[in-house]
Amino acid sequence: MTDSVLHMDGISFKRGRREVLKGIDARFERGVFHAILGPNGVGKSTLVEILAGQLEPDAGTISLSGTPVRKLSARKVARQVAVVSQSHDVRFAFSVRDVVMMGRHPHIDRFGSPSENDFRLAEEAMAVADIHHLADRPVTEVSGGERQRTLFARALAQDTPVLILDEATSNLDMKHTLSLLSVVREKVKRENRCAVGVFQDINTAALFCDHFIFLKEGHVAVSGSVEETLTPETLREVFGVRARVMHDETTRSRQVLFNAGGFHD
Amino acid sequence: MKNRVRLVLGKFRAQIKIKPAFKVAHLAAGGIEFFTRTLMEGPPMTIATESMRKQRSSLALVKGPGGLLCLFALLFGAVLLSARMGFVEFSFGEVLSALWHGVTGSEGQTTAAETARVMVWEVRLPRILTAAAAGAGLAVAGAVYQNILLNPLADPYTLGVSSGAAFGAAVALLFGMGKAVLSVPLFAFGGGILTLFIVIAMASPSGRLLRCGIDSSNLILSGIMVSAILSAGLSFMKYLADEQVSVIIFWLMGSFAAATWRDAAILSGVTTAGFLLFLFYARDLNLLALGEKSARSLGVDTSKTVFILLVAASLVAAVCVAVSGIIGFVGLLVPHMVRFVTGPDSRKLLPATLVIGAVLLLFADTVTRAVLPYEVPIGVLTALIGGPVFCVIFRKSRMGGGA
Repeated sequence: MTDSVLHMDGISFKRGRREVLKGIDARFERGVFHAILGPNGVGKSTLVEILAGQLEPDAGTISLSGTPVRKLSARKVARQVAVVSQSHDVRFAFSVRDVVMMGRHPHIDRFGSPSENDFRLAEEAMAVADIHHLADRPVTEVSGGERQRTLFARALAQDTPVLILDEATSNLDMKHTLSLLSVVREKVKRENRCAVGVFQDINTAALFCDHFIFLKEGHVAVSGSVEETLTPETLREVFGVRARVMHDETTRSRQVLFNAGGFHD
Repeated sequence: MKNRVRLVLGKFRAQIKIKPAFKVAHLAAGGIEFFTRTLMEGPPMTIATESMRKQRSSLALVKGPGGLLCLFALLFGAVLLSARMGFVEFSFGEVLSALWHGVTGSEGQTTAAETARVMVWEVRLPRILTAAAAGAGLAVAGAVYQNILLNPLADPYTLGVSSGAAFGAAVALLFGMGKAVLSVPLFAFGGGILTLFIVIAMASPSGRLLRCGIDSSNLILSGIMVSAILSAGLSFMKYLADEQVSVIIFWLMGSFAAATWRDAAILSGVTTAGFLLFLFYARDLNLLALGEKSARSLGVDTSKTVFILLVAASLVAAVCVAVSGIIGFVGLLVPHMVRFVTGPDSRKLLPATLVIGAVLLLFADTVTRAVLPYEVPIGVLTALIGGPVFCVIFRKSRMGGGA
């Protein structure tokens, strides 16, 4: 593919003695919203952390527009790739606005001051994430979902060609999940960016993403367009569940209906 | 352990590239501009906007040049006040003229003026400046530890750096190297930094030093364990020390009574250098306060930055301990208290912590020197005051009200 920005070649990773990832190859392209799916403990988050340069793989290379990430400074990577992680415990009482403004850090010179543009991007990101009313509240005192939206806004303010979402919406309510993922999709399509998301909820992923990568036991089980990959067979193979896959005319997306008690071994 | 230290050192070495001279010059010029601007206008508002400015003014203790000037005026006032207090009391006029004579190197015209000069310039001032510099150094190092380790309860004392430094210094004292100019500080530094690495290695998961997030309660637990072992080692050395034992014991309790101009110079130099380095990394420190992974994805070279900052903070703390003995709780409490007022932004927190730390330790030293009927070792005094306050903070953070 021509427009591929992120490459993973033969990525392996061990946690202790357990081999979490066993030689993963993947391409992530501009203009495409990718979803990474798979059962718990299959290494989705590890994969994303490696992709974001937060973990070093034991083997294999990640390249960003053709250059191995290992050879790039953290700052250069941060100008290209933004990450929304699951919100974690924050112990220092920065204001929500301060945290969002930190997204501009890789773009501001060490001795420089933020430009009008930096402020504008941060304000826009806060508006999109619906946290404007919280801007001056300490991030330690807002709710978990609000903190998650703050981290989302920070990544949007980072304004990078590649956006990585690590279960970024798993603790958000429906309305904010839909609105934030719509914004991401719009940026992917209109501004030709690349997005990669780890999802638990297949239907949410099916609403917004174009390309599915299913992981199973440290391998890529199935990878391809939603139409090709989102089938009862895939769901049975990867998750061990029985399900029906419907086409929803209104949203023009595939949606999955699960059968209660329909487990496989 | 050796492997891990070597691993980190190797990584660190690999990351330091020799930069072309012009880049260094550019950095230096930028740095000078940054520091002067910080001093003139207050920290640049990189991560603040209009409403943030308003919020700052409502909290106005440290606000721009005014706040910083006020803080330094406070420090200067504390130095003057402390200099007049003691066995012989002087007036502010006498203190100022003694300072003038000291700075110009002239002798006092009258016997009284000459007495004042000797007392203030040669006896009190070295001690005052040493105490202030030690307070500033310990407090700033504590602020950096807390920030990097994501734990408002971290400080050189809880992390075992102080105990390690004490152990190192005791080794130097025991083997009679106390007379060589730098051996006690060097041993203290070595002991402190080695302890820090052992503690971090014990606390970090899967052996990846400084890479994955270190669980802070594990860190404090390993700090306490290592400290306990070291204090046993210290007791053993006291047992071995025979007639030297009083030197070690006296040194351990912490005192500025024997401070000289040389101590004052070493301590102020190291503290100032450390402070400027921390200020240089202030923005990275802010990002690190939200976690190492998050900082990395925002472009901080975390392993290098954390390594430099931890080593520098340990150097500052260890040198303070080496000169003054073990003085607990300053590095823990001062940043914690200052954070209530300035907020967590390191660009405001660090200067305020520096000055408040200096003033508080100077205050404590003045109390023991000039107010109490007998001189109580300063380490005992700070622990007596700091211990209960630590308990209150611990209780509050357990109840979810941590700052």
